[in-house]
Amino acid sequence: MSGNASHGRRRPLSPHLQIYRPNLTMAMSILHRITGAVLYFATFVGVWWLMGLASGPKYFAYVDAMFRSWPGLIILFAVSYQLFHHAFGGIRHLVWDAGRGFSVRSAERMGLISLVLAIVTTLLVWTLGAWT
Amino acid sequence: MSRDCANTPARDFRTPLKRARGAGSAGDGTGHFMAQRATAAVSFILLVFLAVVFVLLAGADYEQARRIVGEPLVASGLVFTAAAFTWHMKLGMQVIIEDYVHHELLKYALLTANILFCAAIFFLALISVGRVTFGL
Repeated sequence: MSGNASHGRRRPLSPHLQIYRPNLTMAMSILHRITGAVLYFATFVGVWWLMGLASGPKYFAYVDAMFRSWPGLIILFAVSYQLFHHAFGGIRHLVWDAGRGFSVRSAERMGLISLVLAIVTTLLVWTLGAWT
Repeated sequence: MSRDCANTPARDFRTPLKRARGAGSAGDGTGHFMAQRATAAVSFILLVFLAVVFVLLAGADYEQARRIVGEPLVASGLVFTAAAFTWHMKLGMQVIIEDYVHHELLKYALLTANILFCAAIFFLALISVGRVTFGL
């Protein structure tokens, strides 16, 4: 509204990002959005593999070789971690939506737990995948 | 304040609060919010399924992979996953665009592109899985 300017003095602003000391819940919040955006484009990777499988043995061999190459495996590993990070992080949001877990202690603890679960689950899935 | 009045019809007896209620940056209500949570919950369950399929496919060659993906249970699950994921990511990317893009024309162009991208991913997954499971 134009009223503020006509007073001719600077009104106090609410503190923005650079004011706060970085903490876990802050990092988890921004990572939730970043992983979400990355996963958005990463869906094409999964669909590309399905397209390869549908296209026949010759094209599948090419796609499969890309997936099993070192850069392919690293990308796949990174995507899978982000998927679990976003999924477990999302559970926190569902808890908050239910009106629970708003204390600083709960929020911090849920952030830490979701982080640990994401790392453990990713390693578990890849271990099982390598084993079979 | 003056801008507010200019946009308001002469005989509008609604209070400013009534006009603002339910109208976030998207000018929309709670439908988006609810759908995002519902698709999130469904996606989480489907992620467990997806992890199992991923492990099964890790050591599979072409023939084995086609047989696994072609199983009715797996094929249905994959299409279900594609539906839940693409719906959820359409909603999520929409929020990101509405948060950061304030140029109206660019915003609507990106919101449209978002829908088209998510639809394309879903249709590619649907047709690919369909082709494998129906053996075409």
